[in-house]
Amino acid sequence: MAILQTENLTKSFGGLTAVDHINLVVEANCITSIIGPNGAGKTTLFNLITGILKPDSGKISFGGEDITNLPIHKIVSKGISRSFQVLNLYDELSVEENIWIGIQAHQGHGKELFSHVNRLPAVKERTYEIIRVIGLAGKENETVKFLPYGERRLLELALSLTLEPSLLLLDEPMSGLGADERPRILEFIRDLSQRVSMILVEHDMDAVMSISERIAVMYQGRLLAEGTPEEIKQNDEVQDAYLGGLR
Amino acid sequence: MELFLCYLTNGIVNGLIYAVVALGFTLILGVMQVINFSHGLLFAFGAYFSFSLMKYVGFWIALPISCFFVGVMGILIERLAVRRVYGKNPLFGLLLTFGIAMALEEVIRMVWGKPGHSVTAPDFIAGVVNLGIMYYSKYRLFLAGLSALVILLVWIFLERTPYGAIIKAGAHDSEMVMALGKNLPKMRTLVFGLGAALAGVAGVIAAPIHSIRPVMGTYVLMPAFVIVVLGGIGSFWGSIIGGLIFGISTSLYPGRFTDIIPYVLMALILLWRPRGLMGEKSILEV
Amino acid sequence: MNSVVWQWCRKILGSPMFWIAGFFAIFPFIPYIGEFISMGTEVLIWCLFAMGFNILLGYTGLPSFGHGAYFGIGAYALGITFKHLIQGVWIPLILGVLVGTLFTAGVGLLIARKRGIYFALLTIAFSQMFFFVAFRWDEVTGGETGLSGVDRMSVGIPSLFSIDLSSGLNYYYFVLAIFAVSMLVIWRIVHSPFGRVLQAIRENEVRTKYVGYNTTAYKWASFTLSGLFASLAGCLHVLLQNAAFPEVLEWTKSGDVVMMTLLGGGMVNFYGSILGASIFIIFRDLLSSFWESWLLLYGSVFVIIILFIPNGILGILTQKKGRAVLK
Repeated sequence: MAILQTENLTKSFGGLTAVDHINLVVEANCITSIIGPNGAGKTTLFNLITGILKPDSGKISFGGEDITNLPIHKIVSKGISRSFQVLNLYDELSVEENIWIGIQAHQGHGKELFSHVNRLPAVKERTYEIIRVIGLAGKENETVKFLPYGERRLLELALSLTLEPSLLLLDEPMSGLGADERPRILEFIRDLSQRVSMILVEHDMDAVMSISERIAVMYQGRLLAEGTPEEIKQNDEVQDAYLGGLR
Repeated sequence: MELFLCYLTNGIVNGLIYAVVALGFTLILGVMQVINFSHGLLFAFGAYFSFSLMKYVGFWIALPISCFFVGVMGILIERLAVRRVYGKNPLFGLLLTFGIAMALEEVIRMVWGKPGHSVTAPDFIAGVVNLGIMYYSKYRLFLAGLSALVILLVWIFLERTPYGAIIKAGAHDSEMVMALGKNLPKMRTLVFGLGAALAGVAGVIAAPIHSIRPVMGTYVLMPAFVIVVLGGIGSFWGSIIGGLIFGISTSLYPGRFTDIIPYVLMALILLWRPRGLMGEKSILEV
Repeated sequence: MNSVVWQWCRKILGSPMFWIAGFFAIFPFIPYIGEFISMGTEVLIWCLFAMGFNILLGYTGLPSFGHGAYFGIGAYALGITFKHLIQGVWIPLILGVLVGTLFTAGVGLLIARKRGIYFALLTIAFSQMFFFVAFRWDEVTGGETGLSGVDRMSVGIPSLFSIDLSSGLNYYYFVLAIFAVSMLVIWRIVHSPFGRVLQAIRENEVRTKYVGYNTTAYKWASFTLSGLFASLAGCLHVLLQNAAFPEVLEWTKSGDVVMMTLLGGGMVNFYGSILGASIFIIFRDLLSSFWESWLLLYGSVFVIIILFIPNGILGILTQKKGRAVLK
């Protein structure tokens, strides 16, 4: 069953068509990876799906519902969440406060003007649970900007997860990580895929091939090919345009 | 009809002077992201310098010297104070220049006294000229021409010189300018000095039209704000068009509510085009 | 049972709010300085204004430089109601606050999408528009001369008790009561889940959108709330002066409230705005009565504060904690 579908999705910046008539079908309950060289339009596609950019034309539907042109917060409330390639956290706040905001949003608090934040035991409990899951227990009160990079990467993922999305868009979740830190994140993503549908943009080809069920290849804004990792490896066009270029 | 034409011409003349003030303001705003509250005071200093100098050296020498002095004041303000707040909360730069403006206004009172002075226009452009349909003050026409010339010079500087290209790039991406190996701090000082000099030259030009008073700086500052919002932040043509709109709309129907017209126009334009007439979408807005 | 009462007592005694209200309550009886009741009232009014403004500046991180306008609109709305509609205390006061809040809400709709320098620029431009309206619309606002004769009447319950507010001391306590309640309300707001969202917007607006908050709506609400307290302060100010002048709308007033908030350390501490407003008003009143060219020093102090103590007085005191973030 398709969870997300784009129809002729197009976005240009000036003369450059960053996303060019993309028809992408993302299946539920599996990891779909989008690969392609830099500037292929992957991040723009993410920005279109999550609503920070408006498409020039085309349609995006999620769970059968049209979500084109909805504002970001509405799209999020439908169950789409994303992480960012460049860390996008509350740097000045503590680990607890970072996760707290997500949980508070997910549990529907925020319009309450006169209840005290200390009187939301359900939020607090869930916040600590998530911090434990990502292995940052004991660092709740540390200011995020002072955390090591790998832990901030985890936090970036965890913050997207606080919303318990049905579709998670991960934009290069391993970017900037050393070889020793990658397995930890990869394992985390693999665990996650049991419960959440995911779209993954990643440059680490070995990771992509091992973890994905479906792979879509983008090149110069267009969808070049789509299929299982095996099919993609054997696709000549892909070899010429992208994988070949790497060798 | 004749009255209308006269008002319209007044409006264009005022508009061109406002445009010169706004141009300096928007240059500083666009490149440094600083709302320069002392801009009006720099305008006032231009007027006061020329008032004092003109008695001894005449208009043509007073103009560049006053302009130069105001430019130096701008450079000093940037070097000593404003550069420390780049990239911080915009209110810092705003309050900083606000404080400078307040102190400088008091300096004017102490040096030149509280009452206003009138500045006489140079002899060679005294009197009126017959434009065919009406008689018009020669001096005002001369001012319009001078303002237009200044605007043209700024345009040439921005569009036709390598410095201009760097400034325009800096307005969009300061990191890129750094990466190109250009000296960003020096460029910022230069831009601040240039913006100040533009305020100064407008002050010299405007001095004979109105009498000069300590509060004149404060009075010219708000038009600069409205013009920049009307025309779009950091836009050259936005400042010119905004300046003309401001000048004309406040001159056509003299009456109690003329002061309000530009603000109403501004609110309407914001509803229709949130980034101003010529403004481009920038990092300054969401 | 006793332990519950004990806990409450400890909580109240442990709160700076109690001590602040307590200090102002005994202020009129302090020898020498207690005579300056009118200045004390003005300090309270500005504290209220700055506290409300800090919801926007300190907690939401939105730099408004035009809040003097909402202070002034509240002031004029009360004055106009009093002169033309109905005399009294409560109805003009409520109408004044209501009108001020409505204007803030309306402007907020136009500018809530913006942030940073663009937001600041727009707030200035709008405040100036309101200033000109007050300045020129003689029939309603009294133009340059303003509205005078806004008398303070009595409050109370008919045939039970009545307090004559025309006495300076009674009015001081009236303002103190409103100040204390407002302080409590604002404290609750900034420590609520709503307040958390505002702080999240200040720290990272994009991410806050991506956790599912409609940040524009929250920014609007923050703007409107701060406008509510600004117009409340404006109303109390009219009653203090018995008159409304166009100067209350001028942008220098907007500058003052920003400066107060920064000076005390409103950006890093809830009580900073109160400290800042108190010091600011006292300093200004003393200076302006002793020295003709006081604006020279006043402007220079602005520059010094921004350059050397941008986090304000409480910012210096709490700096060792390592991070300057409001709680």
